[in-house]
Amino acid sequence: MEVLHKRHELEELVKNNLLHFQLWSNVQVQNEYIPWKGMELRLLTGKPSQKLSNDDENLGTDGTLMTEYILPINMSQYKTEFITIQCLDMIFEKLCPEYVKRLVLAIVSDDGTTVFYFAYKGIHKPKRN
Amino acid sequence: MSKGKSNYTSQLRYKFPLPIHPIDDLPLLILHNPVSWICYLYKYMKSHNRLQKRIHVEINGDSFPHILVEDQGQMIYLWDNGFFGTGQLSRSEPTWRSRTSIRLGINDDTLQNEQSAKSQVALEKLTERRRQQRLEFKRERDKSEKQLLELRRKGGSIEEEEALLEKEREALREYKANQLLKSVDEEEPNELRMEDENLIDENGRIIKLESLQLMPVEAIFLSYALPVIDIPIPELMERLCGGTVEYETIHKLITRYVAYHHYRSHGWCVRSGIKFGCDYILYKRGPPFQHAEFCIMVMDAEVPRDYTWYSTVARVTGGARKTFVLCYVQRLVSQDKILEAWDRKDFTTIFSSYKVAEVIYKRWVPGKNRD
Repeated sequence: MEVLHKRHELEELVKNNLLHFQLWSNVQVQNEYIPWKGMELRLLTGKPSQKLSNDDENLGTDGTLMTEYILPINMSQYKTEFITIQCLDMIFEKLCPEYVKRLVLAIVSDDGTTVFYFAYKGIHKPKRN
Repeated sequence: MSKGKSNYTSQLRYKFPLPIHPIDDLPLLILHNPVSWICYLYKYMKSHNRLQKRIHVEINGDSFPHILVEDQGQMIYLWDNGFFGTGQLSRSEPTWRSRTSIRLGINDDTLQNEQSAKSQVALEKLTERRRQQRLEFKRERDKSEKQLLELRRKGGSIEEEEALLEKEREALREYKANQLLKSVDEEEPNELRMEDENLIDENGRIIKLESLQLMPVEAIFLSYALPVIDIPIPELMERLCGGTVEYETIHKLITRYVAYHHYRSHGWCVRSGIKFGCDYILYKRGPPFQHAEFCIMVMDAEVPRDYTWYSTVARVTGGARKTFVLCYVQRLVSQDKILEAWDRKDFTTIFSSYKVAEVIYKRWVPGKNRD
């Protein structure tokens, strides 16, 4: 049986970034994971401090913002880590509740910055500028 | 942003472009006074400009190494002397602790550079405020567009439509003008969150959560080109690329480094270009002084790219009003020669076996760009 590589350090970095730089709340690393290219892929969940996009009607039943699902990814000047469509499909299917329409990709670059992008399930109307 | 208005304090704080300083405390040399020659020579022989203590780096992570400086003083030193590294919880300068202490209203006497921290905080606040305002404006615009849609649905006449449009435009203009009047100071203080409790240690001080992270090429520069960090270059390269290597695994790192070294040695302040989708951005002096002028993409001289690739990158950098530079790095010797030198740990031979040439790529619109 293959030993899967854990990504604690990466997950911890993203968690700290969301909690203490972007000032999100309730940021947790999920327990469930899927195996992918020798790694354990885990999502983080958390609540943003404000609406992430004007197009969002992303309000929960109690009127607060919905929980976001975050996938941490490594990026390097001289190496690549692949996240494929197949991998994203698996994540939507196995790690998110049915209603979740998008992931937040937290791309941790080796220059010390973390950038965030949305990845939607299926086709999504382009964002208004 | 207050870039460009370089004041006296920042001139002083960022006096040196690199972490190694020239020897500038030599006594006066008076030509007709031989005693002064002796003084001068003695002082000249005795002084050196090495760092008293090399800066300690930790390298975390195995397949994707993170090169970190954790000592607060050393973090600030590397930032002040050449703008090396990025604070992991900041936009660039590591200001997380000062920002947090102000956000939580905690006075921390261990914080250095208090004054500059405050001005930096103001800057990050300003950006946040501007983003917030832009969002609010878009929300407002959305509302007026919904009204227009409503009118069309009801089958309003063209005159009615135009009257509504004019009214809405005026309202939006007013809204924007009012937004600009509001200053940053009017903001209410942030609420404390549960999570913030974990940030304060038993002495009532903010914990050290942020490290300064160096790009791999910055670490190579500070170990190979300048004796600044405490990891020898062979060890660093092995940590980055592994013990036994093939040419493919080291090619990207070498070409990126050759380009980085090229611009640093021409006096540019080189920082990561990730926010603009390119490899590097070049500052004439550094981020506090002016915006970066150039976006650099490091290219393999032999590898062709399709046209859409160029136009995609050029549109992004053009949108940020930066000049897009294609930096071609060409290998002049065989791959085997490079690998041989790698085994000998002869990095000078490796880095000097590449040639750099640049091309500027600019989108040209016949109707607009007349000069």
